[in-house]
Amino acid sequence: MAVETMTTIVPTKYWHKIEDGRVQCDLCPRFCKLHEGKHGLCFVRANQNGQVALTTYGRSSGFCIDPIEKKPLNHFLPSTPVLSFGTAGCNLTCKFCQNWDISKSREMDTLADEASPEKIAKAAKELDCRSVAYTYNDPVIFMEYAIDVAKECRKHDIQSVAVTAGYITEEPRSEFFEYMDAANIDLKAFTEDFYRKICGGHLQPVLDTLKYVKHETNVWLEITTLLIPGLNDSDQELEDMAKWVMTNLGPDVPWHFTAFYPAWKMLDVPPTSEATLSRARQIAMKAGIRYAYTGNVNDEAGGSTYCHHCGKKLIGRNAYVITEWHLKNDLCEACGTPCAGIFEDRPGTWGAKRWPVRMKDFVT
Amino acid sequence: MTYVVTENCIRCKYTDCVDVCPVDAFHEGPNFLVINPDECIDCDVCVPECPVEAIFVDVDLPPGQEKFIEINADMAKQCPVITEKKTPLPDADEWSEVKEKLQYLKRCG
Repeated sequence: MAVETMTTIVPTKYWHKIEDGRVQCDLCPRFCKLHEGKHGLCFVRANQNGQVALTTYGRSSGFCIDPIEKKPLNHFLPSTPVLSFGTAGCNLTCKFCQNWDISKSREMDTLADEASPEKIAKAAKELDCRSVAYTYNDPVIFMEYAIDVAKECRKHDIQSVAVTAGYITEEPRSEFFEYMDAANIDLKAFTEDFYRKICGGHLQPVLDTLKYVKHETNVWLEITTLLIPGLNDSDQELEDMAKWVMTNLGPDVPWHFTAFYPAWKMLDVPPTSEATLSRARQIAMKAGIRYAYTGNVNDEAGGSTYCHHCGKKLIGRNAYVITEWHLKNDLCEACGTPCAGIFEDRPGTWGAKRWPVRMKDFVT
Repeated sequence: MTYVVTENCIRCKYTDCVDVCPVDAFHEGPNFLVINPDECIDCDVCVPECPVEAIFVDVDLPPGQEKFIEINADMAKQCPVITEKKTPLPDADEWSEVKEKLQYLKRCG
């Protein structure tokens, strides 16, 4: 059997030469300036022969079939399986990173699995996945690979899902999201201070991405806020954030409040309480958000979808399992009010399974 | 363009910056840290880490700190790379408030 070999270093187009002889990566608002042979903060984009190249094309830190609700997406083909993968590196430096073994990896041996876009799309089809997710680390930094996978997926009617912090500049933003069908974008906090000191970035570019995806694309958008005790969970901050979401994104963008667990460089902060998650959900709903959820915890009330008009429970969920379904297509069974999202006649049957996949097992 | 460690670091050396640098651009002097301008990628991630606000981009240095551009470049050639955070100098907190510390700067070798 022929061993698949693929170049892992590919040219990129969002960069330019600067006066001092270096090249500036223009992919994200960090604008790393690189001498020959040096990599950016993301670790995976580097100056090679005077150009910025992506050095991890076709390399993955692992594939897994997850429920779509785990991305989390609650209004996009519920209970269907999504073939999920990530690479290595990240363009933010969140001290609370929940996937730090991948995002902060500087070791190429993290990237154990090798797969061409064709192979991933075919594997997704063969495994009956409805979508492929670019997740675990931020797909923005491996956009050339993610886009090629997404193009192949479209040939097989497989959807593409981006799980991202949205830290990207204008031009690559529009190219990247052109190939996505759904996205979960983090709104990590609502202060510049948090983004600057805890994540090593800035808030405004993320707000710009959220508005862009909502208003300028057909991508189905949901947002996630990981609540960290004492850092981004005050009533005031949540009220400010909810007001911004209502004003700028409207009431129909589902919003997930998820629990922090001590990780990476934030081991001295306790895990988020269920009470905090519920409080955030209430604040969002009071502001007018129609679909606010608690996540990472077993909370059927906070994880279910309700009709914003009559209050009927439309989709019951418990730990990624659908417990009730009262939608007819995308309409409330009781009152006929539409529920925003991408729904079919009935939900999938994937449930809560998590199933690791080795690409080398697929010969395509 | 590069980032530069300035006077506030002298006799403190908190080293929080070292921990976040993605390109190992920091070098360690006896009582001061410097950034190697040939390694720095201007990613800005070290700036908010410094508890005494000693790190600036070279085109936006506080008045009187311009000489640290050369000090950083010179000491980066003489001093070893530091990649892991360590305990600050014993009296760092006392020195963190002191101005005009250049006279105390110790170089390597």
